[in-house]
Amino acid sequence: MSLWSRLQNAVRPGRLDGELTSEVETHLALLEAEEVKRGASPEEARRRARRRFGNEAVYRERARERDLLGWVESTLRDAAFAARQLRKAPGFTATAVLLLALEIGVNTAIFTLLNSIVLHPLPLEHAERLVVLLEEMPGGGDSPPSWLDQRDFREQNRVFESVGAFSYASTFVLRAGSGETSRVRGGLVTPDYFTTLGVRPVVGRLFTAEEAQAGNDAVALVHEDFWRETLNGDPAVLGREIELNGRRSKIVGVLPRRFRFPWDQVAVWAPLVPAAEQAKDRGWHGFPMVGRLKAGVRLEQAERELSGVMKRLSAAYPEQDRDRTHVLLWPLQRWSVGQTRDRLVVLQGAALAVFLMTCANVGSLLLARHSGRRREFALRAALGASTARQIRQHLTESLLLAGIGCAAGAVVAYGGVQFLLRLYGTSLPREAEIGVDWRLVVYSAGATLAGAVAFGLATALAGRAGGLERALREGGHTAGSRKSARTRKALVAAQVACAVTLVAGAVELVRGFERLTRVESGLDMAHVLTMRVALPDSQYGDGAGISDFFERAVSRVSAVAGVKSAASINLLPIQQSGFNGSLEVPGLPKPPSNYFVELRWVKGDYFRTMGIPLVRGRNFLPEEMGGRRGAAIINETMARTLWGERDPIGWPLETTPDPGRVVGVVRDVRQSGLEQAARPEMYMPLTAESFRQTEQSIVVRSPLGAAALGAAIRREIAGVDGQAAVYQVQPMEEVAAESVRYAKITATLLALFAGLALLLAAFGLHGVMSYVVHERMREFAIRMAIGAQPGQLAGAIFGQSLKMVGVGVALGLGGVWVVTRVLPDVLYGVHAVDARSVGAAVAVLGAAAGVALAAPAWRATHIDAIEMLRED
Amino acid sequence: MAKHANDRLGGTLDLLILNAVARSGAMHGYAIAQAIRGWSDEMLEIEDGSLYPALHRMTEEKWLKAEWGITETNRKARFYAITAAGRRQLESEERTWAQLIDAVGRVLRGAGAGG
Repeated sequence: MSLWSRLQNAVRPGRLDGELTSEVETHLALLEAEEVKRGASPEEARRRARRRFGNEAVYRERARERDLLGWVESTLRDAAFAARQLRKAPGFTATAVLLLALEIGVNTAIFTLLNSIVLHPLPLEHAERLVVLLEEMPGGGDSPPSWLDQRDFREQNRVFESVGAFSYASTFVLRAGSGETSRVRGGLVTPDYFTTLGVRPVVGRLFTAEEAQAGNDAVALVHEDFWRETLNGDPAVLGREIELNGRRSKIVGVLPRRFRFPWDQVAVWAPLVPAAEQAKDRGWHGFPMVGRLKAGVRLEQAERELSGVMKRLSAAYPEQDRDRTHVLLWPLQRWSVGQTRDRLVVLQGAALAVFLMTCANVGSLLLARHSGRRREFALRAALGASTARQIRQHLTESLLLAGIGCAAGAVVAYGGVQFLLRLYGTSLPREAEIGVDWRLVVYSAGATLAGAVAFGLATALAGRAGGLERALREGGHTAGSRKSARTRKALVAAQVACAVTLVAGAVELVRGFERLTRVESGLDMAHVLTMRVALPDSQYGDGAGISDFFERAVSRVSAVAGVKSAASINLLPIQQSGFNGSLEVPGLPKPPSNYFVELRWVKGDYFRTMGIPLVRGRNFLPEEMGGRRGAAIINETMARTLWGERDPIGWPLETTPDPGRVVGVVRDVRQSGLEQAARPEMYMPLTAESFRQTEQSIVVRSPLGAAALGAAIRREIAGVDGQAAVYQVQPMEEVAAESVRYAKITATLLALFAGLALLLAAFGLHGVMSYVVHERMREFAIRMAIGAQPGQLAGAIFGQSLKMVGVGVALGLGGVWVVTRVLPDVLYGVHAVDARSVGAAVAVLGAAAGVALAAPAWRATHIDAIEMLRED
Repeated sequence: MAKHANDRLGGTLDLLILNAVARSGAMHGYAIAQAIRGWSDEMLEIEDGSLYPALHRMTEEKWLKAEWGITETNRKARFYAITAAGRRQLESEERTWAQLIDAVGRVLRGAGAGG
């Protein structure tokens, strides 16, 4: 046989098979004809011909196995056979494939995110040695070093090979060419920031040390995407000038696409040159550091040594670095991913539980199907099929099933990833890097394969367990499958356990989210439109210009038709916080060192615009707004925590830059996200002496929406200064919704998994009990015939199920207990699953079990006893 | 070459088939079985089915060549004919067989003489 025909045989197993069949058929026909000639009846002739020919199947098999590529061909044959078997049972096949596709898809989708965001190393050389250095605040939390601290850390450590610093400032006002000003994400970084990270420019060069000096710093590096999209891939990009924060800056290089530090979506980098007041103020903590550890230096070791430096600084500068005695070194990867990691791990855990349940379910389906086919397998064994052959057939069938499931799962996974990306919006860290890679393929294929082999072997072994003759003797009613029935029941109990755990967790999370949405935000959000306004840094060098700008902008915006009132504030509630300071009030006990007051500066009637009620005292007077008299309004938390029973109204305050008196107390407003309790907060009029912040928010109360007002408001602001960039124009309600978006997504996804788990558990229960009823049909029929009531039979069904469900629920409660203790605090204040959630989970599961059992119970009680008994 | 030297039954079946095809020209499986049965006066009881693995193997070894044809009763069947390599194989098998008969005969005679 030529190689070609062997290949043909391998590729088209049908060919050889068909030839052989027609050859053998001819032979049999001739033998038959011969026997007929000898006088045998046609049936007798056929029997004799078969006897003389011998075991056709065995010879055929042997003939085939002669082939060099026989194994390929016989595998394909097995596959074809398996495909035929699966086609013969469309209900089973569809169910199994659907389950597998759903499971593989969901798992792969979640894993794609986990892989791209958490597992995949940052696209930097030796990224494992890169750390972000922050100072640990007394009482927990972290804050970046000040410029002077930063310098001391540089000089006094022996653990870093190289170290750089950056600023938390992330918004640049930009004008490229003669276009409009826009706001982009930018990074202010020291020149050694890039060499520490080990990034090389695609075009041009990095910053030089001289460019970190004030006056030489009118240079910029741009991101590759920004170069391609905004600058249209200009080949003469080097030396081209863009206007950055109101200053013409020369582009010196382009950084590669995968470099996204310190923030996602960063478009431009400029040299970090601290303002004079920041450079000499050790209390201005605004410069996180990034360092590359020397090879061989462990994180703990570095943390110990740097904490030593921190302790010396704290001792030397008790005012500014009070109680700061430790540093926190975050591996860069952890730092850039933040809490997303823990949340994704939780979701992956849930997805994995669903995966295991699916394996159990598909395994259970295969077992049931196998029990029904025991006779067939026994027959085939009697006809000479070897054990290895039978196991191979089982495996082939499972693998084929898994393969189809995997292919369908890939489609689900693709859709799932798109869905998740839309769900999370652009808020996921490392979003640009999310995609499929080999690890993903290995993960999904491996999981599927493992599952498939497990069910294949389990069914094959169950098939051998009973013994041939018994299976044949017993016909369809196989007591020998008792063992597989037990296995299936155990699987159902395990599934119920998983479902209880997941449902309880999901219920708790959804309730937690519900609580969040009902949280008293402290303000009247309806009809409030907000926007950020950024001023070019270089042209607003002092507070007077900024105060003047917002004064005029607020008054012009207030005059827009349809606007009831307008105001400005440095940080928007719920969205942003962290602009704070420690504060001592004369005549009051000194607060603990971790007591910080959020500081806000306003223009216009902020409280009326936002609907924040005044609890005591009065609003700012015009002369206070104008800065001719110092005044502050505090929130309830600050009044309670600092003044206690005393009346704060009229109390003198010594705050820089605005000394004055407390004139009023307003209702608490959540500062950073709805899930975070309100912190002490103090409002002051924005004046020339206020802290210089070029980026602030303007808020507008109006029954008209963003669509109707946006253009007019932008026009008015541009009328004050055409270089001001206006962005993030959105209703306050949207700002609030965004703050709970992650919580909502996590709750939604977990609820989805819980629903899936519930479905799987109910499905498994239904399958097992249908099978039990089928097996006990005759018994039930006899019992009915001798006078049993339908209720008794239904009772028997439910009783048997109760045991499975009961064991499952007990295990599930154990699971809940473990989960609530093991889970880190990642689920938005959900620390423990309370009894009500568990109760709800058990109730939901009970209901699902009831539905799952309805059909089998109905069937058991509607047996036509006579018909049934006559059948055998 | 002497692939089946240690496999007497397989070798014997090959010998019988090659012999049959060498004597009568291209034949199909049934005819080969008939021929072997006829010549051995039905003393050799071979299951007809066992011919096929052997025929396929021998076709693969290029001792036989197979062609599709129509039987006298108008059925599709494969006709096997011997090739040059097949004739050489037949000679070698015949020799081995003769040697075996001879050897077995000697052993039996020797055994008889000793007893």
